Amino acid sequence: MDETTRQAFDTFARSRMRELLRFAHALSGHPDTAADLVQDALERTLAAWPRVLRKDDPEGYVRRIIVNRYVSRWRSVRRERLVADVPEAGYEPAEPHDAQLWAELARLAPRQRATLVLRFYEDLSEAQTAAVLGCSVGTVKSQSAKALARLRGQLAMASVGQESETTWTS
Amino acid sequence: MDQLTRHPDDDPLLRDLRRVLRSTPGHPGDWVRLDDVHRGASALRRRRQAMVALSGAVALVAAGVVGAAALNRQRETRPPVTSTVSPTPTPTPSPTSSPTPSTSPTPQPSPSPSPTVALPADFRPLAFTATGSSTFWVLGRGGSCAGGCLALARTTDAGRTFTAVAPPDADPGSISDVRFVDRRDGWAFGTALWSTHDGGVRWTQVTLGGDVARLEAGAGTVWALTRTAGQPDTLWRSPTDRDDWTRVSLPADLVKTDLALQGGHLVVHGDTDAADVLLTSDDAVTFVRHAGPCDPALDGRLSAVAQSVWLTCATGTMAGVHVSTDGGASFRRVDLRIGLPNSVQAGARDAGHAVLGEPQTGLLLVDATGRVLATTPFGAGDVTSVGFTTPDVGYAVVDEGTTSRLLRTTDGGLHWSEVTVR
Repeated sequence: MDETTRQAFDTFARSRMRELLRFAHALSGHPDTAADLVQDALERTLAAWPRVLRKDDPEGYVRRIIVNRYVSRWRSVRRERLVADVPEAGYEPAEPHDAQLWAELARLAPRQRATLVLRFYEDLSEAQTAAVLGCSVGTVKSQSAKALARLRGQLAMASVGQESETTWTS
Repeated sequence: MDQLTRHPDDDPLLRDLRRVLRSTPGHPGDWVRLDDVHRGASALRRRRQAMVALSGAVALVAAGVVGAAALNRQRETRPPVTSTVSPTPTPTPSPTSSPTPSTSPTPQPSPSPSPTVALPADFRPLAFTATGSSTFWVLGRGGSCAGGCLALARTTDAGRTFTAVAPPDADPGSISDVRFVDRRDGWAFGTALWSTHDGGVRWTQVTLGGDVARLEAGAGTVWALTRTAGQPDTLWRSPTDRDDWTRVSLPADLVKTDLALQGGHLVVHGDTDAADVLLTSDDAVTFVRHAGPCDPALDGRLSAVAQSVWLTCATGTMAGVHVSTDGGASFRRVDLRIGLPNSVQAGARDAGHAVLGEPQTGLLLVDATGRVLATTPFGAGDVTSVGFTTPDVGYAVVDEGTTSRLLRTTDGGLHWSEVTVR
């Protein structure tokens, strides 16, 4: 790789690094996993840099790799033996309700979480989300609906649990 | 109505979802280093080139087999024209028969692919180091080497899954402990010291002289305590992101030394004519000296978390346990009503609690008044290390001779479960 190309990549990566890490954190729920995902995506982007530049959307390319690696990483994880309980998140919002929502997001299947992150963090349309995930718009709709239904159900259960606990202690 | 078609302001869940996702904290921009990205991309390109070369070679062999078979079939079906057909034809496949025609199938001097790192099936934990409640590394041994090859595993999901990390290419017997301060900078040590600054892709041996008795890292500095028989212990320091080691001048010749880090504050315990505690808050430019509670002739071992420093002192009969909540300036004795052997290991949890690893017995959760709040027996075995990464999450390594176990607690030491590294 010549020096000009290297500098172009470095300039791009430096300028977008924080946003990419934050996006990967929102996606994976964990800062270390986010760093792994971003490093992996940038390595793959750099290995194909001339081709990526020709397509004129390097950041979109990186984000697509992050999402796909996140979902496929989970697929490979599923085949491995699970040895501990639910992993803790590296960040927890201060508000109890937000913390509960963050925790429930972490329990979603990664494809569902990815769908919600692309729709509500990235503000992508259903069609754009489908393009990033490599699926149909119909799949995006169904994944979103299932994810939101699950979140509603879990948050409602938690709310009932808190109320009954309050009643019992008073 | 489809939830997604509603305006977010109409739906509290969608509104909360946006707010929570957008409150995801930012990272420092150097969380991922561009040098690491370039190295990783180079390795990726080499692997791809090697795979292409390999697939070309496979295609060549396959074409050769197909060609030979075709010629054999021809010989079987055609009338023998022995004067024009070689009895042992050497197949020369057409270039267009290869699925990768642009690549020469001849061997190239390209680098071989990076060796795949795998964890041995009989991985035995030796030591652990954590950079968060979910991210930790486990050093272990296993495989076919005498005594077990070195192996290193990393998890970012609290032990659900592990990724093999290449350990240093060291004599397995020379490495007994490991520390990582972040995902890149780490040290494996024992009678030798090795460092990595790219998460284990490359390890470099560092020679300080003597065995590394203790190494701790934090606040941008790594501290190593080295020991040579018959000589005072020496203290070294280096920035965590590179190897730039300098010897630290201590205010006294110390032996039986131990050290701990409490944030950026270094606590050094050592014996001279008294068991001293040396404290520094200015990267060892100046030390403040305090009298410690241990017997000057016997060992003292430190364990620190943000709120407290715990010190176990050998006494000749049974261990004394002491706790400090002022950064090591003063200690008060923990009035344990049970006898503990001198080899007990303490893992500080918070200002009021620690877990004591009692050899051949179990893990004891104690408070600062000396009450034993929980006992987790593990039978015959020694605790080689115990510590907490948060007040809830802690780890212990139990060595049972031919095997060893990594235990984890998520309720502050009340209960422990085994983590299987595979």
